Amino acid sequence: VSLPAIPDALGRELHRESGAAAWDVSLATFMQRLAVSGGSRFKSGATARELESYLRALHLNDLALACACASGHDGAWEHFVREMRPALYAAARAIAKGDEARDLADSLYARLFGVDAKGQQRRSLLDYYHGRARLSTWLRTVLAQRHIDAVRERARTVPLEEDREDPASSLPVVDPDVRDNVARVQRALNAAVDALDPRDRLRLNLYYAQKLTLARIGRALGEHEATASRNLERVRRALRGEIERRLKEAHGMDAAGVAACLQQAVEAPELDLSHVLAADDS
Amino acid sequence: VARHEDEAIERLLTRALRSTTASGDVCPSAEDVAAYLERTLDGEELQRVELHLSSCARCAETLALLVESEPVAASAPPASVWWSWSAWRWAVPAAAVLVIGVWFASTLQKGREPASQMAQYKRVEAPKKEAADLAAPSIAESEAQSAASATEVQSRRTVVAGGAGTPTVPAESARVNQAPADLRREAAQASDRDQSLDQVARAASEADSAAARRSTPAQPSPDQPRAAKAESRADAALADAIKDGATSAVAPPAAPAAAPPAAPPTAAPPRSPAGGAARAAAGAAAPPVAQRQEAAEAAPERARTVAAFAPLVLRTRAGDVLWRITGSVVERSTDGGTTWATEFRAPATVSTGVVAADDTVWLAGARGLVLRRPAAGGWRVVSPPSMDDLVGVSEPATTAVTVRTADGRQFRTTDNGATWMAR
Repeated sequence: VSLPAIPDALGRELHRESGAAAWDVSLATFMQRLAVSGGSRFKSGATARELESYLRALHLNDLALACACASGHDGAWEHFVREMRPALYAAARAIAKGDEARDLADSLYARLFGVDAKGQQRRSLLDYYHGRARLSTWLRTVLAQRHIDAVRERARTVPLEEDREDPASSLPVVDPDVRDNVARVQRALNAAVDALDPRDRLRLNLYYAQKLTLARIGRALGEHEATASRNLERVRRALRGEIERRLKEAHGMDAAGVAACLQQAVEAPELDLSHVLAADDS
Repeated sequence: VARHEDEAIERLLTRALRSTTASGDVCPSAEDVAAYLERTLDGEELQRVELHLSSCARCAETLALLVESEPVAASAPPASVWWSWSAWRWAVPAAAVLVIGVWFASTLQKGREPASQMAQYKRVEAPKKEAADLAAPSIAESEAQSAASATEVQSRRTVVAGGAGTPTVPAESARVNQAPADLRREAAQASDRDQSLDQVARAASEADSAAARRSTPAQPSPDQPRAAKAESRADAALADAIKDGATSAVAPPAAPAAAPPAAPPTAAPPRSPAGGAARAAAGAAAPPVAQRQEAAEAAPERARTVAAFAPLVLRTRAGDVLWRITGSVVERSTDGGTTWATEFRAPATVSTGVVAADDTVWLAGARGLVLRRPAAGGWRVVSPPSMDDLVGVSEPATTAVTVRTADGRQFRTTDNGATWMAR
């Protein structure tokens, strides 16, 4: 990937503004860092104006700090340890529990410092920071991703014992008609969710799957809590109507039939529908 | 019955959303997700990241954790939103003071006995002090925040119960006059109830965890690009649903599609739990919530609801090839509408479309979405003239088209969207 060329005057100005000199980051190093950031944003090229407004919007102080820390500057690390490390550990405690939180923060801190699990020197993770979000937010995001990946990794590897059992034997015995009906509702719902506006789908996910409060959903989507609440209600209503429409259209059900299907879905919530959904609809 | 139906939908919804995996899509970088939260992504990037977040369980979870781990000070509601209800909370006591003040002044005109003056002075003093306290920005804000956090759990419960059709607005309006301690106690009770609801939901979703695990790709460290696994269950289900639907209609009627969302049998008036309280208390003369919402938010909101589901059908001049667009899913049929195949997924909801004389298809939709498909070729997202919702598209040609925003502004391009001119 070719890096965009940054005009000297602009580079000088941003270098001055970032305070990079305080950490002994040279103009050339900082401009290279800006170019990498610009290149990651504009993979297929950009006009000089687009590039300039992009660079000016960056968190330059944070970028300078990341740049200095990645190159191992002592003063920069002292600053990082004083200003960022406490927040990093606090965020880890909010994300994970007890020892796990500590391990999470420790391992990230080591990677930021440029040491891997075996204690070998590696490229610092801070090299991947481009200044588009605040450094503190970026650090929290990396923490969250690492935590989720670790949990998923565990979830994938632990239950081998269970898998050996015949999955069919542990399933409750259910009337095949009921199972078909519940699968129909699930299928109509999946299709309706799929056709939603992406932001509305994310909204539902944050509420139902992630169990966020309305205030936090608002925060995640950049809306006020009251707006988030109203929008959630709107999507719920639209979704419900759409499920009914699809059931009626695809299976020729009337209102009573739809109601009966939904009722069955309530009464058999523990149903594993994966086989039914995977098979062709009958 | 209605409550049960909503419960069923919620359970199945949790199941569907937990097991989503973005198909053939690389997760955005940590920086993209962080920038999404900080609102520093621009148009086309915002759409790309949002589309991914909406269909990838891992990234949605990251976003959720990010919001939950936010330092307390930063997670306060935006204070700069001057029209938000919390910013105007002081208006209620202030209005009370004003009313009493006017009444006081008018009675002062009639009788000037010093005794009654004293009595009235005493009456006025208390609310005045309260108004002064509330008017001081820092105090008002912190109060608003504590009330907001106390009602947070409450709001959630209200929405969960929403489908049951129980009118909650009057209860909410009474809440304004309650002491913060009461609010907290109620919130705590609500949180207990909420927990039991959560437990039920969790029990329901545990059954899927095996399926979710199977469909979850291995995710190495965040700095390496990841290729997510293809074909989620939802895709297969969608394909099925489309197959099912294909036999029934070539051009699914828009009216039935639009009707159910507008009038489900149990539709309770839309609620905005936190805001509703202050508004309901402030304006007794205001129209019912439902009407007010329609009047205030008018076209764009409703257009989006309808646009999300009423399928849009377009055809070539010869009439043999058809496109059916439902929300953001574009399907194509080459046999006059007997069978459909998903051809493209738009990054936002499509609201309208048009076919040019040479069978070039143009679509427009939410947040500046413009799509083009040449007679022979695939769909491409055209760079948008504006990030506002587009509701009209007209005068199509091979490389030219005119689009219209919800507020009536028009833009035309003659070079495939490289440049747009306002009209």
